[in-house]
Amino acid sequence: MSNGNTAWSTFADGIWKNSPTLTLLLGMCPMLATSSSVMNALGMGMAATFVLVMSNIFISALRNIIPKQMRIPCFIVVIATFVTIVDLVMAAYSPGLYKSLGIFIPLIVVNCIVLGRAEAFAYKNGIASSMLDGVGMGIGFTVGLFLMSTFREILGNGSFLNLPLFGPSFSPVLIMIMPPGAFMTLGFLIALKSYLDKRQKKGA
Amino acid sequence: MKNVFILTIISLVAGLCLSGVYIGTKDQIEISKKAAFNNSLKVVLPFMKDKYEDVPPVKYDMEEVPIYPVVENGVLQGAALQVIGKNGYAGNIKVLVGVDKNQTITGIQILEHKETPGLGTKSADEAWWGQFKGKSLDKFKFKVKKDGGDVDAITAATITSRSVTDAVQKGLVVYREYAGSFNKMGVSHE
Repeated sequence: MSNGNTAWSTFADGIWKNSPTLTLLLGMCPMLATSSSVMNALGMGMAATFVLVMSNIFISALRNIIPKQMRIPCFIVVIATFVTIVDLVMAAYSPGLYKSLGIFIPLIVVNCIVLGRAEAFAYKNGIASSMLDGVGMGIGFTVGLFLMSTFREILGNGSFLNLPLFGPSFSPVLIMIMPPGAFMTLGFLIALKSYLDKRQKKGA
Repeated sequence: MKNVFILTIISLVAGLCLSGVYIGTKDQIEISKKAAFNNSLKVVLPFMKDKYEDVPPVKYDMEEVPIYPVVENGVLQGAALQVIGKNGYAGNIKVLVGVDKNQTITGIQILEHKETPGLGTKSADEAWWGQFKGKSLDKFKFKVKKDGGDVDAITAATITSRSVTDAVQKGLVVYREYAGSFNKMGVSHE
């Protein structure tokens, strides 16, 4: 495999093949909680992507300095730093989104995707490919959130990005924006992805 | 020993970066908060020209209710009151209620809540709270219809509706008391 190919697959794996939410099943908590509207989902996806990319870059850069026994505390410090930066910047420049995402921004610190990629990828690979991995995984997370929130917002609230899609006589399926709807949507999406993956394998 | 040293260094650098970001964003966060609050004030007090009086909160039933009165030429024109709706679906709901000099409601804004997205959050939409506009204590029963009042509850969010309705009513009661003492003593900044 040539170098370009590896870089591409590092990047692309996160988006679909190893999609963090639909295949690795990491980061379920923010996925379920912030996908009730597309706006929230995109905000969450972008915040998590920023943290993922930055923490991957820094952990990869520091991988020869960070001692093996102390790696987890070091990872957490790096991750928490970037999460706090996102938290403060969002509070300053996007107060509306900050308010609606609430506690889920600080909770990115314990998002398994971020710590998982630090441990499984950034600590063992170079800066450039760690960055690509972060971007790919971040986009994968955002895509998962986007699919889920689109489905939930349209069915559960009759709107997309807060724009009403149907007339006032439309009565939304309320359960879709409540927690049970989140679990159901996630189940269907995972099933759909496994089905598509299987079909692709058979075809190949 | 070396391990501790490295973790200390990393934490130190992280701390330094964060204090930088904190100082850099502090003023903007303050500005954003103020702007958001002023926008809410403008919505609930459409008759407010440009300023409100800075007065201490009013004591009411063991609570302190922050009040933002509008005074023109020594005459009270109305006020915004920041009241707490208790027993929401998920904790208290902080509501800003605007009242004019006829003791009728001019607007409502939900400042803080933890209600269910898509259900209780609808209380922040004017489509719902619009029904309170122009209502006063004597001609409107501040209870949801289920409890024998005049308020249309939000579908599947009766508890939220109840809590906000209580808060709005409390705002009107506190305003009435404030207006009574204002007419006796004028504006008091103490």
